[in-house]
Amino acid sequence: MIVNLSRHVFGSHQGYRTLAASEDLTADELAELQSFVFGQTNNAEYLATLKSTPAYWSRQLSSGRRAVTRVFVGPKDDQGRQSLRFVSAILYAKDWISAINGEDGALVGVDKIWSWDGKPRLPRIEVRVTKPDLVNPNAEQRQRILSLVGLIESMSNSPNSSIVVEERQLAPAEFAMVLALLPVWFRPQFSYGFRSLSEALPVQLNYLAPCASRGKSRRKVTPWRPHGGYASAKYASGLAHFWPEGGPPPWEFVENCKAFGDLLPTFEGTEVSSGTVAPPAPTLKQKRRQQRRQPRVPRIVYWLTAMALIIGATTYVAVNTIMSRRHADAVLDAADAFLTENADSSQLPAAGHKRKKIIETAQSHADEVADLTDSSRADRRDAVATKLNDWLSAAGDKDTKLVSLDEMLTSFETFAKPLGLENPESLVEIPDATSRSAVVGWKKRLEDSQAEASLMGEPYPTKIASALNRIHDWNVRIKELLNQCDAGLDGILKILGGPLPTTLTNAIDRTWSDVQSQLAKIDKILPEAQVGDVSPADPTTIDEYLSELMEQRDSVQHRVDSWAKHINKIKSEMNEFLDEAKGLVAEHKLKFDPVDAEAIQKPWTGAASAKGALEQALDYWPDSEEMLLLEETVESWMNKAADLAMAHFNKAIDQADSIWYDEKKRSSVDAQSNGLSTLPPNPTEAIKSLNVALDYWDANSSAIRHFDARMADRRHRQAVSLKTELINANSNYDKVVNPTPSPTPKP
Amino acid sequence: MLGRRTSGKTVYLSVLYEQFWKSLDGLTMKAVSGQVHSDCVRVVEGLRAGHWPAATLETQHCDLEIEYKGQRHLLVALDYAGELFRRAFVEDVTDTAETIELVKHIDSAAAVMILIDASVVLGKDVDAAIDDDFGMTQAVMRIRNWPGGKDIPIVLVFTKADENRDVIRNEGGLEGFVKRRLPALARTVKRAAMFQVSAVQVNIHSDGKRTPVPNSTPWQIEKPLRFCLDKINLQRELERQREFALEQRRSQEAYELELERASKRQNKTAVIVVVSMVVVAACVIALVWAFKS
Repeated sequence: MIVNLSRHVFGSHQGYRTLAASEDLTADELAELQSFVFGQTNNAEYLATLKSTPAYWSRQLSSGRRAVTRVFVGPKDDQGRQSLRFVSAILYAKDWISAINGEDGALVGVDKIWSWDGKPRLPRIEVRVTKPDLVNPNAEQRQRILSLVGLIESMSNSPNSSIVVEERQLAPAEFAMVLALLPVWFRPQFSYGFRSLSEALPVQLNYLAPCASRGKSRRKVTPWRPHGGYASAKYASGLAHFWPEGGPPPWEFVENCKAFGDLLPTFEGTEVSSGTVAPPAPTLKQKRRQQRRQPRVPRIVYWLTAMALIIGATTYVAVNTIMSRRHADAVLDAADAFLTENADSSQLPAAGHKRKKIIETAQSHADEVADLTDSSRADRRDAVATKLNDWLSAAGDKDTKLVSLDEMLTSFETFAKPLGLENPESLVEIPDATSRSAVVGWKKRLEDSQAEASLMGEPYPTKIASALNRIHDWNVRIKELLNQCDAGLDGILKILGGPLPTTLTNAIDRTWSDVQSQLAKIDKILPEAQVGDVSPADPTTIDEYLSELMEQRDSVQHRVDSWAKHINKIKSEMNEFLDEAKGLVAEHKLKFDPVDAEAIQKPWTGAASAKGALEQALDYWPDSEEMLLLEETVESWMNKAADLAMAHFNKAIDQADSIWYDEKKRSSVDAQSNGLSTLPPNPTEAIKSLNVALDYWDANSSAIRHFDARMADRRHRQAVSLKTELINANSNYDKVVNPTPSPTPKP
Repeated sequence: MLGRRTSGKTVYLSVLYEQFWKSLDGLTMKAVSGQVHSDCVRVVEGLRAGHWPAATLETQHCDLEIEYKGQRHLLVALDYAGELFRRAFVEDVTDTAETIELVKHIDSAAAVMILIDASVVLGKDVDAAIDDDFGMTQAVMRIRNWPGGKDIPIVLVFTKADENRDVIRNEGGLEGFVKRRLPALARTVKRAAMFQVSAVQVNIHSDGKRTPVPNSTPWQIEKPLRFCLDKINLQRELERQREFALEQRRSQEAYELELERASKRQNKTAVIVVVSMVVVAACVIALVWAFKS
């Protein structure tokens, strides 16, 4: 098996110090390895045998690694004193177990580990190790070995004390066997020294050399007695059980046994116990400290406590009794007061929540009374309880009846709401036969309940009477509505009773609208759905009246239909003319003022046609406001157009007259300037202008004359007269200016 | 017994013991255990055979019974590796088991002998000189600063007087030597007796090797011990007187206190009885009233 390990050399060179070390050793490990604990000697025999029978000790460092330190003879120091040299092999605990199973004998025998060439740096080395052979002990040796294993087991929980074994007591081979027989899991926490020189060596098992110093250490040591028993040690007993005398040790037991003294295998440094781990027993010092901490209690405290307890108990009993009786009195008084106040259970309030509250109060009094346990109030308690129970029984019966009446009235309210029974005055149409029938049923039910309600007292008789009144009012209202319908139908028949009209008038139109409106109202009161209803088996007066009205309404409807047909025909014919007039007005935009006198001819013709169509339509409805208004519009337009045409015509004539006047004035001036008596004026321009006026007259004479026929004719005559004058003047002018005859202007 | 390595602790202790073990009267010594006696005698035998004892590699408690001027003392001398002294007081490593044991021992000391090898103080080994100068000063300061430490007798013992007598004389005697070479220690110790002792004489061979003279005569080795014992006896006497006076005062106080207590106890009992009766009566009345209501 290959083991990788670090090394350390501790020896004297002008004092003990670290002489060499592997680099991986920590400062703490170095401090632990420089320990002054092994002891010293000048014993030549001991020193001489260190090579053949190595002295060493093995322990776990605080870092967790294992250190096995072998002792060698060192050189004399600077003062000529004998010194020792300690060479340590340091390896990981895992390797120590896996490679050599914790048996250091395998390492001690490898010279390569312990040799040192005097250099301060020691490299880590790998060495091959083999487990040393163990000789099966004889019976006597077996006994000694078991005894020592038993002692180690019993002291396994005391790592600060040492078991001391002397060389004369145990042979090295037996010592090796003892180490090999310790449980494997226990070995990492176990430390021991072999052939050590001091009792002070801090190990659990100290195998002392004969020359070792003793009795100078304060360390607790337990000397081993070779003939000591091991019966109290379970592991050692088990070992003995499986180990036959003269036979090989039970290695399987050593490998597998998981208990050693009070210890169990540890994992990650935590001790595991099979049961409850008892806390460590306190030391004498701790016991004294604990005793000091418990102060002595003065007797007065006990006495005061006793007095306080007596007073407390007495107070508790007395207060409890008084409070219990006061409570019982209060409960019974309250119950009595309740019974006095509500002596008559038949006088329960009608309001459900109040009644319920009173019954609950009574029940709560009954429960409280029943819960009373005070025997001194038993008689009164029983009497009150009986009264309360009687009261509750009577109240319960009445409550049931009241609840029944309440439910009936609530149901009626629910039923009455959609039918308008809450406020019959607001009823506007006749309900259907089913509703009427249901109301009849309710009426009967309410009448039946009246007797019981009068027994229960107010407000139930009033409520039922109110409900019946409402049903009565409801019926009255229906009759009123039916009367209204009857009167309305009579009126319509009276209006439409005469012959059918030939033309329409505003009065006929209004009457027709009234008839239709009234009929619609009647239809609303008598909806169509009512018409086809089957009459109930047991018809009431209302049902009969309704049936008559329905027949009357049918005959009225027949007459109304005839009227409607005739009126529609008149309106249809009238509308043909009216539509034509409206179309012409729209086509020629006759609704607006005319603006262009030149283009007035076409719209003027349209206006005349529209007016003609309107006059025809008015024959059908002479006082139709719509048509009269339209006619007024057309006439207004025609008046304005005529005014415009007249103005335009006048302006044209005036312009021609003005041109002629100016020409005459100019010719006169020219004649004077030329020294002539007269000079004929040129009428050409005036003639042109006058022709324009006359052409306008020809095109729009009807429009011009519409303004004022007499004035228009007079102006026309003036224009013709002026034209004659101009024609003559033109002849004169031509004669003077142009002897050749000029063409005659167009009249 | 404080001293660095090679100051001669083991030799001085062993020779001292051997000398007074054999003494007939006056100052006598006896080891409590046979092992201690045996070890001491063996060291002395080794010296007589011309061998130095091996360099100390463990801490040993030597329990010795001393009889001096009619009084018995238990002397617990600690023999330890001198390297531990350096580790504790120069390197300040006080958390290892060995240094803790040493420091504890010093803290509980009734008297302290400081062993100094004058040649080391004057030598070329700087580290060794530091042990005697700084290390000793630190140790003395710890003793003096401990409760009651100012009264602990401290003796400076200059060992190996046969080798160092001339050196000390050249420095103006012990006082001069201490003041010149160990001024800090002198300042700290303040009052200390100083002695030169020689447990064994030394032969220095031509190769520089030093061996003990087989028939060495111990010189003045008992003086430091006698000084310490005288001081301890004196302190004990003072302590005894102080304790006697204290005890008398305590007795008087205890007597007065007991009288006062007896008086109070009597009054208290009467009050308790009366109050108890009143309370019980009140309770009975309360219960009767409660059940009647």
